[in-house]
Amino acid sequence: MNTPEIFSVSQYLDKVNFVLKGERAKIIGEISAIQMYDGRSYLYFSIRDKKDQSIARCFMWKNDLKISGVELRDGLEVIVTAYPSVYKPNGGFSLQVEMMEMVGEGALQLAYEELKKKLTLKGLFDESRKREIPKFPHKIGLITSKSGAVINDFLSNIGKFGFEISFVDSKVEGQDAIKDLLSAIKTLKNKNLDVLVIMRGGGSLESFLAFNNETLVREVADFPVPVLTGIGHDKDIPLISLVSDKNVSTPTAVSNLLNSGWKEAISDVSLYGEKIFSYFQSSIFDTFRLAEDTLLREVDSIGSRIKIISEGLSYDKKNLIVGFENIQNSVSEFLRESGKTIELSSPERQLAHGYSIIKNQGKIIKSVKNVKRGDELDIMLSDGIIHSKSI
Amino acid sequence: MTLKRPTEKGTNLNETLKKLKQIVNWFEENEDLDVEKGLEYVKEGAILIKASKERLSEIENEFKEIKKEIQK
Repeated sequence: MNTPEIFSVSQYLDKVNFVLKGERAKIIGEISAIQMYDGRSYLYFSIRDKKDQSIARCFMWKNDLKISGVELRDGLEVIVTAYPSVYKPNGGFSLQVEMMEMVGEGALQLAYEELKKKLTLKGLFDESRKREIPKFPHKIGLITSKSGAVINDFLSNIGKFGFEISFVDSKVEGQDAIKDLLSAIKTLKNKNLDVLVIMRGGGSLESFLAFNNETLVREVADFPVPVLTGIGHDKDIPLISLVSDKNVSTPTAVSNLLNSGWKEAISDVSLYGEKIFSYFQSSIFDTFRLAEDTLLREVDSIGSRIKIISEGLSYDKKNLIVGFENIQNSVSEFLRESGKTIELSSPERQLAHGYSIIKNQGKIIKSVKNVKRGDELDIMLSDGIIHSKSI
Repeated sequence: MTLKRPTEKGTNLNETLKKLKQIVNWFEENEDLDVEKGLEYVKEGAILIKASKERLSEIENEFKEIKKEIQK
């Protein structure tokens, strides 16, 4: 017979706590005895059973409370997601609360309205904050649930434009989805993306709890690239859809939007191609037609000009010949007349009439003053020269 | 207007479409066409259209699932 194992207190509590951790459950109750401990990262409170006032002490990290988005106050009915444990230093039993959510449609509606008002006042939903979804997205971050129709609808409608889709599976239902979604966003935050897509199908306000969570809404607002949401809704639009840069209601609409720029580009390219070639073709034809017309017109005009010039030339030629003949005649006449005059006025001709010319050393003597005594003079007569001497 | 040829590495579709639109506008705005220049733009346009059509032809998508980082 085996001896039962003996544990130390610490060992036993470790064993118990290990087993208790598997007893995670959702527990409903009213909040009481809140101990916030300013400056510390945790808080304590109790939850009380409405019917028999049973009570359980609760421990919770303040960050988890913040993520839960519940404004803690005495008497508030909540559902906590928690597991039990024994605190070793004092043996105290408590519930380790991981998440907290409000109960009832009325409370949820109130919380939704209050948060919506608060974030609206902070300008988180302003149109001026919206970034444009890239026209040609290539690298897409995708957050949705792996199971269900949403992802299938998205994938069967997304065009084959070489998209690089980085997908992170996440819960999308209820309060439990908050941490999952935050983790998915964190995972994709440092990836090189063009756009982040978050999708889920429609549902009640309760099932949308995560998508109305303040922490998540702020994460979406601060995401480094534009966020496109495709979240179906009935009456109240989820706050995450209000804060995203663009919201459509179905996964098919998300796909269509991502495809739209590429599809438009296909028709644009064809249109531009047709336009450029038709403009150029018609312009070239127009230019050639114009050139042809001009050339034909010019040929005609050149022909007629050649004719005019040629006519002008033959007229000029005729005039030239006549003119030349006239000049020639005039010159001949002039020469003839000149000859006559010269002949008539020739000194030799005068000698025949009894005149003489006296030269002294070759120079004609026109006055007695030009002759000195003893000068030898030549007297020219019509038939000879008389050599003489002045006395 | 100056146009650059698309790089060998790939085409920035946005940029390419903008250039194509510029060429179309040039043809629309220039009634008295400079044929030499027009021919140059037609050649440019043909290159851009070819590059765009290559980029816009059917290319399979790449889908990869990434595991979530553990929340701290």
